[in-house]
Amino acid sequence: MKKEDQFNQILSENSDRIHRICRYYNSNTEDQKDMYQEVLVNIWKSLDNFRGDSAISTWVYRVAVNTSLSFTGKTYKQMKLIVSTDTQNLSSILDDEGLEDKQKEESQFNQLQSELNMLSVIDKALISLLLEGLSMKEIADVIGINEPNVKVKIHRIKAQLKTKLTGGVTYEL
Amino acid sequence: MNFKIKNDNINLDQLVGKLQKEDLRYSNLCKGLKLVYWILIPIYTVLAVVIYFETKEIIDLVAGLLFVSSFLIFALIMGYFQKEYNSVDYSLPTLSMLKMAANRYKPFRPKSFWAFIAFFVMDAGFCLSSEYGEDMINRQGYVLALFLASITVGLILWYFKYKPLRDNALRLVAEIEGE
Repeated sequence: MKKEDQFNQILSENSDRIHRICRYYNSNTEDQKDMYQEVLVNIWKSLDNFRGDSAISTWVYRVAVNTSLSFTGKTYKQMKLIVSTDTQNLSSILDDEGLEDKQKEESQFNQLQSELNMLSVIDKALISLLLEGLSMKEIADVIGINEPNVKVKIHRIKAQLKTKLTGGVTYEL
Repeated sequence: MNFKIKNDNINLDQLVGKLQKEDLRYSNLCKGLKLVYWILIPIYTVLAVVIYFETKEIIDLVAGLLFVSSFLIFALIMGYFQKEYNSVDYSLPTLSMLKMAANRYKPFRPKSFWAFIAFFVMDAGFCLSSEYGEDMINRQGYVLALFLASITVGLILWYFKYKPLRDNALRLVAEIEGE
């Protein structure tokens, strides 16, 4: 298969995935577009090295996360992890019963958002992959550490969030 | 290249331009220097032979060939760096990618020592050649000053441009390997 065709195929199958990763790190639409382009540039540049050792989706996540580290390196201090209420794996955290609950839910969500932004850059990357629904093994494959290490890190992040969040509400990511 | 897919957020024709620009940006500097050395190699080879026929001094021929050898080493080093910067792989696991980046941005790397060898080969050429006068000590003074100035300028550039990148990569490596 020609490189252009392979690139097109990867793009058609993973475009939404890449967009989501870009949204995690940028609230501004223009910044999301810039990062999306940068991810595509890096996919193109790395395509010759794809040997099929891992799933293409994992490979794309690697490029996207690595690009986000390089990309956010330019504005390292401003880097934020943006989660939205429609994030698939986050929706289960919050109930949807009545206005009062809705307001409480919104307040909890804002607090969670704020605490997520306090995380380190690597922790943000781990959380973004967790929110994407990747297994511990897949996350380990993307980051390059072993599975138990990923579990320890995720556990620590969750514990950290639980401790920081007040009101006795437990957030399970 | 003809990309068939159109995406609502990005014009892929523009992307192709950006891809090409990226490829060029990484390789241009090393490529340019490599080209200069490959041009200098035949010129200095011819000069070495011409000077030898003029002076009939075998030492001038050796000096000329030492210059050529140093240019050859520089050309090969530039070729290596050009290839390395062209093949930065963002699809590696994050930890590996960061370690490789930290290694790339070291101020002194084993491969860079070939540049020192090339410089000393060139210096040997200066010492042997009768074209540059008899005062060896003065000549060595100039060469040493040039050598130190090159290293100083290189280190200043590294400190402001590449050290922050390396520090950032090392900080992330430490964080990933932290537990």
